[in-house]
Amino acid sequence: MVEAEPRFRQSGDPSLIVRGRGQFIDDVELPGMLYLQLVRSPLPHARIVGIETAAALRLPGVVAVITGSDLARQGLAWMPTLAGDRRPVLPIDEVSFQGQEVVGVVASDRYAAADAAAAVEVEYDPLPGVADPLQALDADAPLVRPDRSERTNLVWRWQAGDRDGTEDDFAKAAVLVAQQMHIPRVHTSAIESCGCVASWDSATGELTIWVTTHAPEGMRVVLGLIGSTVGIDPEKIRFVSVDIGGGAGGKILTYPGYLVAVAASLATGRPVKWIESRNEYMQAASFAGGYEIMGSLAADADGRMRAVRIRTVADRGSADVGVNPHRIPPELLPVSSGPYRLEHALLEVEGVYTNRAPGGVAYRRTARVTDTVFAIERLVDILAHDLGIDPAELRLRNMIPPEPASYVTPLGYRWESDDYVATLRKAMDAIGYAELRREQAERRAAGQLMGIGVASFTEALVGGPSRLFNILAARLVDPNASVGRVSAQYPFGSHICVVDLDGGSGELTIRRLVGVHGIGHQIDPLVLQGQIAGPLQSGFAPALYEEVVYDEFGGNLSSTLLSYAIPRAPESPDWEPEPRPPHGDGAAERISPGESPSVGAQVAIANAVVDALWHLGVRHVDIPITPSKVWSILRELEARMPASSGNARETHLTH
Amino acid sequence: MLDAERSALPQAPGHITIRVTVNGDLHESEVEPRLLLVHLLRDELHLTGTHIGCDTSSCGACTVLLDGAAVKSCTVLAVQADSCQVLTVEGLSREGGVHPLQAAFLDEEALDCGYCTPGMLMSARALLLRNDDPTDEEIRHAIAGNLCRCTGYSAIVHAVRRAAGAAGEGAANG
Repeated sequence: MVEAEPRFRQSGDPSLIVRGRGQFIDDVELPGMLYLQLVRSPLPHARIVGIETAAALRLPGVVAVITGSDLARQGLAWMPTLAGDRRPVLPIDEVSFQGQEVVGVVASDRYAAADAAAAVEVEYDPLPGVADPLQALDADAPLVRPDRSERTNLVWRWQAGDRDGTEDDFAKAAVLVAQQMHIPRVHTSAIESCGCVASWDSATGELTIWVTTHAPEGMRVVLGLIGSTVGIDPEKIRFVSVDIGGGAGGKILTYPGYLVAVAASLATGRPVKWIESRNEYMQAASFAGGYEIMGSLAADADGRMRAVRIRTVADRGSADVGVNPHRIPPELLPVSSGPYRLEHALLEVEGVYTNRAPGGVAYRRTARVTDTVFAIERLVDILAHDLGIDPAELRLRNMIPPEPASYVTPLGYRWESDDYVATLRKAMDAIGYAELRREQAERRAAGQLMGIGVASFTEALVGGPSRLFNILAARLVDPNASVGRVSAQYPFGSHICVVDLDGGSGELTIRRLVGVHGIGHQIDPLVLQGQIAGPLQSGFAPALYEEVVYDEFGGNLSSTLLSYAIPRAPESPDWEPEPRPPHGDGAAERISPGESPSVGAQVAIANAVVDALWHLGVRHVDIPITPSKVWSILRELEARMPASSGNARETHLTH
Repeated sequence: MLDAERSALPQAPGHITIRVTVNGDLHESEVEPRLLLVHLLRDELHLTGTHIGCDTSSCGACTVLLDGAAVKSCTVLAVQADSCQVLTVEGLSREGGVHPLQAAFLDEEALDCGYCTPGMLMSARALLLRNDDPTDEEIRHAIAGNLCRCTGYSAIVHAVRRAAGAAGEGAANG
């Protein structure tokens, strides 16, 4: 039996969800609905030699099998991306990442569709691939995208700031610090994967799409751009909002599966449901991160910071799908030089194709907020330790002062009332900073490892996705389109984290994490606590657990929840956030915290770990900082340094 | 699937008749031996409150009680539930009412997207059936098989603690 009509109601009602009466995408059921199962590539890079579908078509319940060649006849083989690139809906000649969609099988129920997908035979001729974004820039690297006229894996190069001024500051600086940092790919891994139900009504020409997305506007842009080739009137595309089972930015993009479902509904004249399995989701969708960062900082001998330079190579995967920096409105960028009084800053990002699944915009991770803050806050800590100045004290000396009330950063952002000094001082008072430093010295003398990590951060929130996608749509049509100013908010704050490390096992315990957030008036304290606790967890998780591991050819070794580490309840800290606005609860501005706690927590935790190990000669540890990584560092230090030998600082390990 | 198509499908020789009591109601179904319990609940009985989040029994979104024990219904065959009592999130509360656990999840803002919530509720229910006054650590271990990506777990722990303290919990159905 099927329900005669889907229910229509306000989505996201918690009182319905706790009673099991939410309506998530897999709960949508329409009369006559068919199920789409995708056949995906097991290889990261290969030529498609042939696709054999006859056996699948003979199986009971199978209605259609769709290949790239079928889509090409309709003009649907390729789809545009919001970043101005294109990607195959279903490829004809070549697959360019493991898990890529190759064939769509449509059948009367899930089991029949799965059986038929297993009966499709695709013959591949493996090609050499490249998984490492730095290697992808080598002149002799395999070409990820032979369909482009440019014979390089470089997608784009973007920069902001003053190159000459920055280089001049670096040439004259008394003190320089530099650090290479690897920010691995992570997966948002919402508990619900992606999915949709597409229903084409040939009588009315209406296309209705139920879909688990944060951004139907983005999907409308994509469908609008390709719809005319298959006779869909953009005015007659309707999106139906359902409850979204989590996303963290991973459900912004338009994935090929949605368009295969649309094509399947067009071909069969019936509603078609596509629900991605966890394994498919973790191979093909919702990635964030994937950055190789070289950061450097120029300062005077007394610790006065002059200039920062961050060069990032950003892994885009096999297509540039993100709402990436070179298309993002410039208003998002000026906060990226951090809360410090710098003379110059230079931020450079190179986007690079690799034989990995296309990366996304998830987790505030578009080579702008989280990862730039990570790099700058790591550099500030390294500078402080090199100079023997307390990391909090060095920050306070360099922060933009609350007076004068207006200050313009080297990247052009005008600070009005963001009082970083107050957030850090308040965090220090709340956690008892001076006392913790005394305790640390005592423990260190007793051979125990304790670290204190400080981070000050800014998050950037744009004024609503619909506005952002209007801008993107305008720029896709005309790259020079005038789009006006975007209203944005910049929640900010400071975190201090205390960690204890077990020198024997490498195990790490977060003893405390205190945050002071420059946010507006509290409306609902319990909701605000949730808005802080959740993002703290999503800073904690990539700092210590999460990493999508690829082999050298682009094979994804972390495509199930058995191999991708997500912290569970027993190992997660007890987040008891006490929102602490810098000036009591009377803040005049209405600023949402956004997901700003995740931006600060990740680097505060990393700084705390390095702080615990610095006296042993450790300058940096790449995230995720797992017990085995810490254990290896400690054992390596022991091996290099017999107990009686000299100064540990000489070893300068970097991991 | 259209009924016409369903009847056109050849009846696999191995179809098995099972009788499962779900939320107090007896259901008789003829199922393929490979049919998962979660698909029996969702696709055949239309109890869509039990969610599917993974394919390796890792996430716990599909947790239901099978004869009082929390199980992941994506890893139980429907035929294994023959002659058993199944309790799903829809059965926690009777018509229009709210179970103390459900009320506590609402009061403590213990859900954001809500996708993991039904599984969390059922694991918490199984805990409170065997321990009506758990410590926070016992709560965290009881939901160790349930992943949440939104809350950071603290609010969920608070909600289970609140429900345990709520009067009449011991007499609640289940």
